[in-house]
Amino acid sequence: MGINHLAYALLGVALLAGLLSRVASRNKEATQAGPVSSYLLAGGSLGRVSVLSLLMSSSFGLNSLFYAAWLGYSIGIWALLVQAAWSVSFFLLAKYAGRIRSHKSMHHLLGSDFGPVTRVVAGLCSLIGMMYLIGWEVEITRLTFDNVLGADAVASDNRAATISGVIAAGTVAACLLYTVLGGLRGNALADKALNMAKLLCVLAIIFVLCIVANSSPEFSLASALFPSRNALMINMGLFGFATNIVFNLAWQFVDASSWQSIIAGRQAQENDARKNLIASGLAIFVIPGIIGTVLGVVAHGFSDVTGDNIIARASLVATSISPIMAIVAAIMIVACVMSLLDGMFLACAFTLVVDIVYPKRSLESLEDTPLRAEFILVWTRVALVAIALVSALGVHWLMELLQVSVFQFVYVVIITQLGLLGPILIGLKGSRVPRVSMSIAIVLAVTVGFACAWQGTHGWNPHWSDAAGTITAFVSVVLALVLSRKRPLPLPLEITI
Amino acid sequence: MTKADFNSLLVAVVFLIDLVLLLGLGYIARKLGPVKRLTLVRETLWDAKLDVPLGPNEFLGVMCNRLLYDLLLPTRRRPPLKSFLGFQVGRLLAILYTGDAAVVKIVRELQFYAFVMAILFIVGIILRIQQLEPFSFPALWQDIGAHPLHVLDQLALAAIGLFSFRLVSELSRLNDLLKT
Repeated sequence: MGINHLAYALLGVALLAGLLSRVASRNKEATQAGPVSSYLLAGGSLGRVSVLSLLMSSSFGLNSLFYAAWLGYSIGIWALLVQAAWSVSFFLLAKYAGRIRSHKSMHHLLGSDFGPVTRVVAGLCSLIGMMYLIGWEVEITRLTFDNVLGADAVASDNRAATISGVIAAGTVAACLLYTVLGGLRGNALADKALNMAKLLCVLAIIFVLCIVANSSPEFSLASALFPSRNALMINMGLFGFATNIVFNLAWQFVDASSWQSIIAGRQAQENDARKNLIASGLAIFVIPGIIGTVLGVVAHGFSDVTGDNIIARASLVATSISPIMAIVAAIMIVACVMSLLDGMFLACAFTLVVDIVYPKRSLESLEDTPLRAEFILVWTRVALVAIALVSALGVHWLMELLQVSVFQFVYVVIITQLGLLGPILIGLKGSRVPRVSMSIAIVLAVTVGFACAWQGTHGWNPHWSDAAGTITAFVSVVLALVLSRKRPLPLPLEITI
Repeated sequence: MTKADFNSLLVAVVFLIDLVLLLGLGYIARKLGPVKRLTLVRETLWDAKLDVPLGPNEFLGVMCNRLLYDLLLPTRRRPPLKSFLGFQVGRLLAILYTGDAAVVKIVRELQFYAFVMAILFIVGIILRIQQLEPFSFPALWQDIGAHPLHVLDQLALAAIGLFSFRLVSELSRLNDLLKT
């Protein structure tokens, strides 16, 4: 695969996404809603397929494909249990769909139950977490491009590193541009096309890799699907399995991007939001859950596969069989990155505007005059550019400072958001009231999480970083329970004559 | 400054303007003369609550007199309305509503051209970097200056042309609508 393939894939995918964003913005409902609510929430009128597409795109980024493929490669068919946990989290969240839909944002739920300070602290934690995730995805993209281009005989190592950095930056910029253009409605339509493109490309690559695996004498489907007990213990172990399950079950509860997509859905019937979540959980189990696992299983058909190069190796092996697969692989990588980042950018903008800058105002009140609405929109877009820059450069700098690899950094990425788990669960249940501000639980849980991650990456036992997310979630839930008490029953009405 | 530096600077300035338009065209458009007048009149009419059932054929001037224009509107609000006192209210409201929708539509259309320009610029830069050996930013700057119009740059230039043409034609159309 060459630079040309990546550059033209970038051009094609970005132009397609931009064109669809433009088409979406001509929608009648889009022109009738105010500029800010239309940009951040699509006027609350997205259909089921659009919501499903948005939720799927955040579960089908490059890191998710890496994760699914690596799980499939490491533990074979047992990876489906971990993927099932991811889908189950959608079903669990569906139970509270009505309550979610009645709030303006995830942090608004916390604010209404635990006060404005908790809302702003939670908003900041989510914003930082999403910025980590954006930067981390960019780093993974750079690493993948580096692996793909570094394997090219023409490109020297330094040159490949420079160019992979430039193409990764170009991908982020292109994604930012169409997100700036179309907002959530544009993203919903663009993501439908990107998800379809990703699916077709991954299936094409799997098909070619099946041919490679079939011709390899060492490949055994049975041993790839059902690795030995020893291989399971070495590759993941019970501890790793448990932390993965906890993370997958908890994530949708604390992901502001998912909440934004649910709130943006049309509520023609009472249980529309619930149905959207259940449909999304099922669809996401298939794509990327099953598809990614199959990709990992067929990766046993070729050599030199490691955790950080599985997608690049799969792309290169497919390209070596058929040159047209180079452009297919390039489109897959670029579309995966863009469809995740666009949702993250808008979730950051939404959190910033609704929960941090204007927590006391509704979106409608921000749009009292067209000029004011446009002014807020301009600053939202400028903030998006700043967020993209700070995320990409900041995470790169932070990883160099901490001297951690991109796969060790995942434990840092999830901590700030998992710290919200306890208060959110209590807020959704609605059966407890706080004794003190829940922001204390959030801050303490995040602090404990970072301490674990630090201990794991710089201390004596790396398991601490593996467990950092799980410990954060656990501490957050325990503190939220300790710092709250059962909601008192309403006093019986005394009927006096 | 060499010719190459000048060319590169020009490309950089165009790219910067393009980004400004992409991020802020909605706001900039509302600040342009005809659109600003349109918005001001709309807000003023809204404030004065002129949508009382007096009939669309009434002249705005007559309506304003009936509604004690001088008393209802603060002084700073009067000038935008003054030039429309000879308009029939129905016509004026039609202009205001279609005009505002036209502004939204034109902003979205022009932002798409700005988007296309920006994408072409970015991919053009990636393709240029591919040909530079070794890569450095000064070398990229010189390359843009020496060959400012590669294929993608020409397409971007065409988008600029279309952008400018559409902007001028839409603004003059709005101006014509508001001519008294």
